[in-house]
Amino acid sequence: MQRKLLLISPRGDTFGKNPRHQEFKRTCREFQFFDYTWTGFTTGLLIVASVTPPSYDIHFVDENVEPIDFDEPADLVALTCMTAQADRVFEIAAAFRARGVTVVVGGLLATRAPEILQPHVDAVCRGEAEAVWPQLLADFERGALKPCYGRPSSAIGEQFGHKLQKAPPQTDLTQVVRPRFDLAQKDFYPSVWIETSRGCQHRCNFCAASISYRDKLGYKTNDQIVAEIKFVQERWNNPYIMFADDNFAANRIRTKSLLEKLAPLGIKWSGQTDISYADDPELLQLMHKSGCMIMLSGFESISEEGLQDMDLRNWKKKRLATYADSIARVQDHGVGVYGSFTLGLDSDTKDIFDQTSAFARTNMLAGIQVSCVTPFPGTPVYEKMKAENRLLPDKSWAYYSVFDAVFEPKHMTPEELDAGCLKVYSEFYSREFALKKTRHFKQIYGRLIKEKYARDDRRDALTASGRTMV
Amino acid sequence: MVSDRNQTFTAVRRAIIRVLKVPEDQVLEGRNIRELRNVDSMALMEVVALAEGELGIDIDVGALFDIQTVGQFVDVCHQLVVSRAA
Repeated sequence: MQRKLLLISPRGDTFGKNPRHQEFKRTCREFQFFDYTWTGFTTGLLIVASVTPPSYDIHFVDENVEPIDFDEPADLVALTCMTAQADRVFEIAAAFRARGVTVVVGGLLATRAPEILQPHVDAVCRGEAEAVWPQLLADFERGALKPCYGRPSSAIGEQFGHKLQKAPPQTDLTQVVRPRFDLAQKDFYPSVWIETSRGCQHRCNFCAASISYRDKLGYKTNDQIVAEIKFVQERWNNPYIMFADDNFAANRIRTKSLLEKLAPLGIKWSGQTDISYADDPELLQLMHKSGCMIMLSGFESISEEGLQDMDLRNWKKKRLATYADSIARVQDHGVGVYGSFTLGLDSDTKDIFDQTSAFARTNMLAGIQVSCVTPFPGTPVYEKMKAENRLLPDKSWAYYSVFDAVFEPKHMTPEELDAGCLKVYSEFYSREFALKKTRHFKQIYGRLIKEKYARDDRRDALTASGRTMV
Repeated sequence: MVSDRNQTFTAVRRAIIRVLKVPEDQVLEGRNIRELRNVDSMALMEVVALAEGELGIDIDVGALFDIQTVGQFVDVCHQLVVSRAA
C-alpha cells in the first residue's frame, strides 16, 4: 500500500523578531551580500527521506521558500524544528491533526526538550534519524505509534556531573545512504548543505546542536562525500557547497585526506570548525587549494572571564591568546574567517560590545555573527537561567533565534543586549569597514596570484588545480 | 596588453568563469555580479585580483562598491587598461 509522507521544514525568522535587527537586515547591503551564501535548506528531513522505504510517496516542503498546502493529502506529516520554529510547528501540527493526519516531529528541540513539543504532536523523535525513523514508521503502519522515540547522547549529564545514562547507539555514518537531495527545489538556494561528519568534541554549555546527537564524532568516507557532491553539482549546476559539520576539521588527518579528494571537483565551499586548524599550514594550503572560501569559527568571547567554563575543558579560554595570530594565518592562505561571538554572558558588561567590535575590525575578519546568549531548552544554560528566574516570560519560542535577548543579563538590560549586538553588526558591516576589509583581502589574493604565477611560470597553469586561481 | 573593450570583457569573463565556476553563457554584460552563482565577498575579491593580474591593472576597490553589473565592472577595468596604455 502506497502511503503519502509530507516532510515540512517550518518557516523561521532568520535574524530574530527585533524590528531594528530586521530593518538592518533589509537595508544593509554589505550584510545581505555576506549572509546570502549562508542560506540553504535543512538537510535533516532529506536524511529522513533517505531512510524511508519506497512504499512512501514523499513530498518535501520548505516553508521558507514555498507555502504549505494544508489541504494536501497526507498519511503522515514529519516536521523538523529548532527552538525558534516551535511556535510555527504548533500551528502546522494543529492544522494537520484537525484533519486526522498523524504528525511527528524531530530535530534539535525534539531531541533536547521533547516535553515542549509532545503535547502538540503524535510522536517526538529524539536523536539521529537513521536510528529512530524505521521503528517509528513500523509502529505507525501497525497503528501503534509511541509518544517518543530515541533519546539524546549522554554528554549533557556528563557535563553537569549528573548520573550518566548509557549512550544510545550511534549511527555508523560510513553506512548511511545519500540524503534525498532530489526532493529539494532546484531553484531558490544559493548553496547546498552537505554533511561529512557529525558531532563535536567540545562541550560548550550553550550549544544545542553539537552534543545533541552523539558523544563521539562520526565520519562519512571520502567516496561517500565525493559521490554526494557530484550528485549536488549535477542537480544544482555546481552550487556553493556548505559543509554542515559541527566541527569540520576536528580530525586533521581525515580532513586532509578529504580535501585532496575535493580539490579536483572544482567547488567553492565553506564550513565551520574550531580555530585549531590554523595551527596546520599544510591543512590551510589544502583548504585553499580545494576551494575553501570562508570558515566559521566560534570564538564566543574575547573575554577570559567570559570563556571560563564555557566548554568542558576550557579549551576556548586556553586558545584566546592565539585568536589574533590564528585569524591572520588562516586569512593569509586566502581563506576568510567568519567569527561567531556570543554576547551577554554573565561576566559581560556593556563594554563588551565595543571590545568585540574592535576585535573583529582590527583582525579584519571576513564576516561576523554576533548572537545574544540564548538559553536553548535542554541546555545547561537554560537550566541555570530557569533556576535563577531570569527567563523573560513574555518571549515565546520564536524569540529564541539568538538575535533576540530572552533573559535578564547580569550587567545590562535585555534591550541593551539587543542594541549592543546590533551596534557590533552595524559597525562591522558598514561601508567604511567593508572598504578596508576589501582592500585587505585584495592584497592577499594579489600576493597569492603572484606566487602562483611565479611557481607555474605560465598563466594557463591556473586552470590546472581545483582552485583555478591560486 | 588589451586595448579593445571586447578584449577586456573577454579577460574579465574568463576571470569570473575561472573563479566562480559558472558557465560562459551566464556571464553577460547586464548580469548582476552579486547574483552570479558561487559569488560571495571573498570570491569577488578573487575575481578582482585575477582580473588585475590578467589585465595588468590595479583596481581601487572604492570604485567597485557602486558596481552592479558585469558590464560596469568591465567598464572600470577597461578605463584602467586605456589609462595605462596612454
